[in-house]
Amino acid sequence: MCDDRERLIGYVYDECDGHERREIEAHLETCHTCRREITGLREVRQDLLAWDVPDTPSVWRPFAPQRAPITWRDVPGWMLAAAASLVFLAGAAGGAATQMVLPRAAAVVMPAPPAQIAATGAPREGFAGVGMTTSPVPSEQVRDLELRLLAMEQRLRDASRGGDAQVINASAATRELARSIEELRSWTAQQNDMNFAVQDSFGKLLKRTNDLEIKLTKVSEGASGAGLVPGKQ
Amino acid sequence: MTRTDEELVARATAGDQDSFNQLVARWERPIYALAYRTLGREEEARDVVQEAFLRAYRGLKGFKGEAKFSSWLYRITLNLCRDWIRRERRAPIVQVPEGVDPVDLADAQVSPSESVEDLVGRREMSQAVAKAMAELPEEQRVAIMLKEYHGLTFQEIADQLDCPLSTVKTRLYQGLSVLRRRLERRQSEEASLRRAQWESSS
Repeated sequence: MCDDRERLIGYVYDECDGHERREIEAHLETCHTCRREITGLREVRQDLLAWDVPDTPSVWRPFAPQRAPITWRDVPGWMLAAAASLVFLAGAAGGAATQMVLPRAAAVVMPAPPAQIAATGAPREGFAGVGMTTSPVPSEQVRDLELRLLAMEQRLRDASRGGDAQVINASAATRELARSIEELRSWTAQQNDMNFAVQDSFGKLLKRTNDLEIKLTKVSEGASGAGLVPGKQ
Repeated sequence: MTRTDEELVARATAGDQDSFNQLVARWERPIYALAYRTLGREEEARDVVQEAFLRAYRGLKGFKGEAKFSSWLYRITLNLCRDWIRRERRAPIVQVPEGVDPVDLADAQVSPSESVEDLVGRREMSQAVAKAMAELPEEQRVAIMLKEYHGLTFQEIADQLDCPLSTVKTRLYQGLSVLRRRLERRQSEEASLRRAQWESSS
């Protein structure tokens, strides 16, 4: 028992079971050395209580009280309506801008061939409307601009995804894009003027054709009535 | 209503920062005491306390509750203290002022039953204990601190220090025995000094 310091320390700190405690107490009745050892350990524990820790201010800056998260129910109806209107306006403005800026294939109204018109049985007055087809105006310039725009869009996407160097280059790409957009605007206006001119010419031509056809029909009918046309006899 | 540590930890983990504030308020003083007694320096002890709570806050989600929150906090604190000692390659020191300032004593809170002589004696004993503890090997010093000042069980200390239960008991016994000898020697030296002073004055 005298050499079993682990048991003694368990007894001093009262961390031994009842059976062990009774054994140690029985031993202490007869062992002066262990009794003195236990007394010495208890005294030093008493001395340890004298070790003060100086007061110190708190080093922790408490978190600020949390604000409850905002839910849709907390937002007034008028604010939601205003937000919805803003979103709608932004969308409409974006759409309008897209219509103005993006290049579109120029469409030209083309008359359908007379055989097709005859097959449909459409009235002659509706000729232009029913028989119209559209076809893009072939233009090297359009293809060139479209390719440049695609290339720049790709560069912008890369810049937004990529690192700092690409982002730095993005400003140059943006300037180039702005220049191209201006070119496209100018080109679109030019194309519109051309379209109007072509449509006007086609309109006039169409009217003359219709008139001629009408006259020709009348002449044919007149000739047939007078027996001038052999087939109508 | 006072919540348990476990309840506060659960709430803090769920994002309730005020619960973590409450945990800090509850444990800041014991953690500071542990750091101060380990390092012997007030300023560094404060730094350790701040870092310990920051680490605890960041690691809350990883705290599985297998141990007590306080045990986890003690472990973080002790690791930080060890890091500091290793980094600085310095033994813990005790900031012992040169002598005891009478003005300081007059300003100090003295309980009605404690005379100025008692207060002086208590302070001197505090410094003596701090000095004797600082001279102990680290493993003995930490074991004694966790047992005496933080009330951990043998098993909890073993868990903190990653050592067998028997090693904890041995460290405690050896540490207490060394402290006892040093403090007894100091007391006998003081007694001799007082006797010499008394003899010279008479």
